[in-house]
Amino acid sequence: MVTTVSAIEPPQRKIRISTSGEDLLLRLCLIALAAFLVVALLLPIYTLLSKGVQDVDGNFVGLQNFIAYFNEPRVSVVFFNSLRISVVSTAITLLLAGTYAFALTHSRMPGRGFFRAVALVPLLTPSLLPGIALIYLFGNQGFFRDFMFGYSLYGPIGIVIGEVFFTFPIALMIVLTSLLTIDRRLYEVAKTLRAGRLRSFFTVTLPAMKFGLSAAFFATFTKVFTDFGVPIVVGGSYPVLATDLYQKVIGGFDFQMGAVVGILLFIPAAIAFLIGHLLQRGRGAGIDGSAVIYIPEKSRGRDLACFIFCTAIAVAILGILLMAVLGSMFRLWPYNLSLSLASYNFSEHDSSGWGAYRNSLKLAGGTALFGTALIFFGAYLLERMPGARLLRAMIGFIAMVPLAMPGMVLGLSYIFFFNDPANPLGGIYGTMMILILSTVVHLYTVPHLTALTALKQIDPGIEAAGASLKVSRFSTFGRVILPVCLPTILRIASYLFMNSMTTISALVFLYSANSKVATISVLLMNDNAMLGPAAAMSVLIVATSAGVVSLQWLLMRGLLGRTQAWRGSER
Amino acid sequence: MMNMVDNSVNPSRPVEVTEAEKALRISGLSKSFGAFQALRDIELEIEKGEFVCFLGPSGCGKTTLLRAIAGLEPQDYGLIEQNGEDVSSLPVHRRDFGIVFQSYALFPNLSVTRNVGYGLRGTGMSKAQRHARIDDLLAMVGLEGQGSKYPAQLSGGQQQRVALARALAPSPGLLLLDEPLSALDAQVRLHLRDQLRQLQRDLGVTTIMVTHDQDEALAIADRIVVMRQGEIEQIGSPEEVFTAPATPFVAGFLGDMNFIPANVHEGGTLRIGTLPVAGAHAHGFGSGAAVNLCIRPANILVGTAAEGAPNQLQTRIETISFRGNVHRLVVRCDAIDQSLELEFRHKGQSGFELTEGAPLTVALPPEDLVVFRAEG
Repeated sequence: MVTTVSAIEPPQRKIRISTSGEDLLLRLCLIALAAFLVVALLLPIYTLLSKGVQDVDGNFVGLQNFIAYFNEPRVSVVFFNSLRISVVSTAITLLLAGTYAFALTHSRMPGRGFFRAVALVPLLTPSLLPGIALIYLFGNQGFFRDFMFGYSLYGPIGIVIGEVFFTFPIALMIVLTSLLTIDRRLYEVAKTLRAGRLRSFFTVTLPAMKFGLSAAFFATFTKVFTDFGVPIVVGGSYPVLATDLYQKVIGGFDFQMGAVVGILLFIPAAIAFLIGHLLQRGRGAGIDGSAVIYIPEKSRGRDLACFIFCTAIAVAILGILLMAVLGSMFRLWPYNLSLSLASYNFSEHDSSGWGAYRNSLKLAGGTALFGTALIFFGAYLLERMPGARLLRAMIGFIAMVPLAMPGMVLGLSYIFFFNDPANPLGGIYGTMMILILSTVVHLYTVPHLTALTALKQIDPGIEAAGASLKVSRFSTFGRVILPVCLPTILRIASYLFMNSMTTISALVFLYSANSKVATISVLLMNDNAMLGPAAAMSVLIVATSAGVVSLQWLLMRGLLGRTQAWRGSER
Repeated sequence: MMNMVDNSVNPSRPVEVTEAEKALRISGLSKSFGAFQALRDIELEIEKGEFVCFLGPSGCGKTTLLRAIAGLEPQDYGLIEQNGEDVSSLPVHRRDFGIVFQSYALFPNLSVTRNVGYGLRGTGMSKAQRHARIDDLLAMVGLEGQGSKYPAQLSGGQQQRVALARALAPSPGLLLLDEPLSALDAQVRLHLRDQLRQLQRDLGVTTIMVTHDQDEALAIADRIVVMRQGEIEQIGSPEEVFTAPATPFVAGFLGDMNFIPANVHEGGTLRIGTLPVAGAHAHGFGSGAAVNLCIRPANILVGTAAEGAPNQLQTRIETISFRGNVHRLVVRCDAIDQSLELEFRHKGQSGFELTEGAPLTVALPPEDLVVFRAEG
């Protein structure tokens, strides 16, 4: 029936809307964004992956390198060390974080807000800090070395403790979210059906937690598997992939094997990430915002148990932080424990002195500035631009890749890509620019998703309404979209700043004498047995992160207060 | 509440418009989304100053057509002419229209004044002129003195009026309304519907409103474009589409309708089963064709009113539901093996017992019967 109609229809001109300058400009921006991601992310990864299947002379050898790796038990043991450490650390973290999250949501113990805040403290620290603090506490000269019962901190034990500290808040946030979405009415229904406390725990609480726990499992596993900071400080002679990669590339200049190890680091992380992501996506649809928040009844026994447990965890977290602070102030640990600020006189301990800290501020400032602009405007293009559907979908996918990319792997691939003499962009190698670039790419995904969420909440007709009033899209972006999203932009900038201060993974391969940052300085001073100054620099990083977070909080409060008239009671 | 103001928007001109100068002329317009044909060969002309409603169930293409007219989602094929000018391939900002979305799409961070004035910047108006214009518009929609508030501080109905004022501010030649009332409570909706109609009459601005609510379309429109599955089923005044539906779909969509299967006999006479239908003729149908006789529940006569009327049927009351001013009955007529829905005002009706199972004589007035070929 359709065919008969079209047969008599005269051939028609397909309608094309004439492109305005504004549309053209938007297209160009989108193409520029795609080009950026290709050059700064996809091409470096490609270079790394192709190095992994080549021999030293650059001939294609397929999987030969990997077969050789696993055929040599003395070499491949490192891979299995990493797996073992990751599984054990993740299990412990989940157990602790799961219980902690339960205590926060399902008890009426006092100080819940305080416990929640304390649990997030490790987010402010570089992953080098727990290792340093653990040396003061349980190292060969540590205050509590007797509690090790003759076992050495240096090795699996130290790594696991450090990783649990480091990943605790990540796991906690995920599990907490899943617990907060339990509808109170489910417990009420369970009660009316005469389910006892235990039964409602197993039929309501645990199933809801299960999803959060499995998502947290994959997030934590990825984090531990790819972490460099903890094992480099307390790993001793127990090599894991991240430290092995560092030794091979920085110590031995063995880039070939480095590429192989890098890929081995990347693939399990990518798989774990992918599974976690699929889990989260499958689940997201089931949660609507209408859940009534559960308020537990008072129960002395349970509340007391929860309180004791949370206090123990909080003491451990604060203890580690406090130990680092104290450690930075000892005149000469372990011989002279009088307090002084000598460790903070960095020019006496390290050639770059305070320069490393200044570089960190530059890096964090640059990343926050450049990254926020790029990521927010990029998300705007993806979410609110008409047309170019395929290109937008592709960019949207590429933007997810950094989350699955261990920082070290990104750093390594940057060496391969940017240090190639044939690369016209090679000029940025060894400059602050490449540090900023790698950090922006490394941290891209989370703020990207944050921005998307905020942009999705804005009425889709805003731009159309603007256009019908003959106001350009860019003008509407400035007059409406930006002001509405300002809290989100602040949050993104603060996230980028804080994480740039604490990150080390990608940077170990990319810094030069002129662009050495604070975390690198911690690493080097620790290597040179200058534990005090290393602790001091770590503490400085934490203080800076904390300062930025507080500043963001203050700004946010002021901003939301000032715009409350039109935001209503948002957030 | 809505006051007439001196307005430069197309004050209803004398009707000396030439044939070419339609406010809007759409011809051969089609659009598909992948394999789904959203609009098929749409032909439509709209006169200046007309209030036209696009009416149809969800997914019928009415909003797609509106968005094509706006240039927000351009058609694949076909022409759109506005005031004789081909605008088919112009981008949104070069077309002459104002639009109100279902969600209003007000700028949340701007005050009412700045929302309404959003399109007035850069139009060559001085600041004083702009403010005078904004004040006029706010008075027009009954929001005097609310200019400093933000959208979140207004009720849904107030937000809708801000959106309307914002769309009208640059004096567009065409006003597009995408289900502007559907997000409102029933009471507010009725109230605003009448105000909208009055305002449109006063300004004389050509208006297209998309709606899925047939009552709304019947009450407000000069002409209704009934759409279904991407095609126009009928274009006509509210009376035309209601009393003389062109298709069974239009008949059923614009209000409740009984469909009674019947057959055409020689000379165009009609029979329901073996029962001859008096006064109704089916022209243009061959003898023996299967048709449907359509009649609205409110047009069926009952009780004393049915006495002496043609086409009487003996029925039994199956269900009774009370609907305020009227009663709605389902009655069973065994002679034609059909159930019918009917509706009557209880007041003044007599001559029968209103209980379930009671017998009831009804009659089908020939002038209210519409004949369609039976489908399938």
